[in-house]
Amino acid sequence: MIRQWRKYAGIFSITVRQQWAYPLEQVLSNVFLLIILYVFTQLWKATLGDRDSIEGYTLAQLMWYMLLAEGIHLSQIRVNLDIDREVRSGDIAYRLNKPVSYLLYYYAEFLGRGAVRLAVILVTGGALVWWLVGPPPLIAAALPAVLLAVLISHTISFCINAGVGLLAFWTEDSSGPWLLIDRLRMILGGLLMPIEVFPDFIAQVARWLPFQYLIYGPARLSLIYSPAAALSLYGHQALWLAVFGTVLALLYRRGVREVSVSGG
Amino acid sequence: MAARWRAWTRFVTAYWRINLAAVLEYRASFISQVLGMFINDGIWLAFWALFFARAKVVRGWDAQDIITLWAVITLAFGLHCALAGNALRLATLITRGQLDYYLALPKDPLVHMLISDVNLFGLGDALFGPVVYLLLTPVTWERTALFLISGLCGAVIFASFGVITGSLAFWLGNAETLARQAFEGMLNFSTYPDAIFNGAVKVVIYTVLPGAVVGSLPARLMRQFDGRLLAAELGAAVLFALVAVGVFRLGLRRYESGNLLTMRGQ
Repeated sequence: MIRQWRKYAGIFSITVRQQWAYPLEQVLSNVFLLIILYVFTQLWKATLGDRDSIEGYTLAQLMWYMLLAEGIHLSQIRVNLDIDREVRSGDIAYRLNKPVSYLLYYYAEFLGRGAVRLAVILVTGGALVWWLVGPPPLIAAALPAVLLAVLISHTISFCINAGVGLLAFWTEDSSGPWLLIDRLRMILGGLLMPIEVFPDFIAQVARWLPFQYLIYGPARLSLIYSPAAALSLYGHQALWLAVFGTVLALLYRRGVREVSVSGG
Repeated sequence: MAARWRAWTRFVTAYWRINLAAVLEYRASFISQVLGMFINDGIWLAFWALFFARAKVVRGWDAQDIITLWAVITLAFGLHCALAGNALRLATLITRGQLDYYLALPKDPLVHMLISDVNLFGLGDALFGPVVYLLLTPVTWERTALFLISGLCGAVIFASFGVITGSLAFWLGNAETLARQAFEGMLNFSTYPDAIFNGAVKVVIYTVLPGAVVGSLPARLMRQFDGRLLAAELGAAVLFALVAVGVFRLGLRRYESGNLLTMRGQ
């Protein structure tokens, strides 16, 4: 069992080292995000005006929330593209006969690429946000809890992303479903602003959907931490992980049956 | 002169017809791309709707102004992608020596390069902008004229900016990332009201990264007509076009052929 997991730890480690082969590229790929963070700082400043807060969020909290939210979202790599491409080209056949689980291989790679991306975003974006609005309102005790919430969020996201990629077994183009899910995640997951700032009706809708546990939940936990809040978040995340994990497993099992390999 | 002008017009419109026919050949893919952009742009409008449901007015800007801004931006971007789709690929073409194809032909290489391809992603925007304008903003003859003029000016500025930043490859070699980041920066700034920026940043978004010229200025113009704003918008389009042509021609003197064999099917 341990030997099995060492394989995936190795894949994770190699992926991390691959990502660091071009560190400047990693940093430069964040320029767009830095612009977004600057723009939103100005937008929230203009919106707050003389007020200290909006729905209980100060400017500093809004921006540190946004940094972590963007970090989570952007580090949830679009593994659906890789899987989609492999299924369409037939290259999946080469992976299926390897002594590693297809899905766990991609999960390890997903986490490896995501870890590097998240770290770079938090460092570069964090430096900018600190300069713009001051230090993060995060207590040290919250850090392990937030990291666990982010890890579970990534796992749920992997299940969704990989599931969309596996749709390539049955559809001509999986980019449509992907785009829809990704944009819903952006809006209803609280990427650009906390759900409390939404109009009441939309906030109610958002609270019924899984997307808030991917982005809003972990980001909010970093600002307003309590053990009870953390446990509540984990509980909801575990429920959605079970749902999406089951769907992914079923899609994979059905999809693999579609693969026919012709030797030559 | 008139004959030359007619010849150019025939050449350009022929290329646009061919590009459109090529795009429509794969109908499912085309529809999928268009729908995708509708969803993408629609989500941003949804964000602003949520935002202004709380904020109401931000430094004189309300939801109507933002919708107008997005209608103009998407039309401008879409037109630029449809009519000068290769503008954003200039750095790549220079770096890979693929300009040779255009240099060997009798037409002006810049114009030929710009019109010889269409950027699929922008076509959805070209449709989204007018749909949003017609359905979600007050429609009058005056506003419609300003909307179309602003869209065209914006398309010229987008294409010109793409040429200017892409031309950096003549001096810097591999400037693809820099050109892309600069364009995305400009595009990003264009989608937010200029009122939230101050000082040096405001100067930058009206000059070096002219996002505000493409977005905020037309939105202000359509809120309240001002001849000076219209003149500024038209003047900016002409100025950026002239600068783009100048920078490209200057850089072309430094261009060295890569002796690359290329084939193009039209």
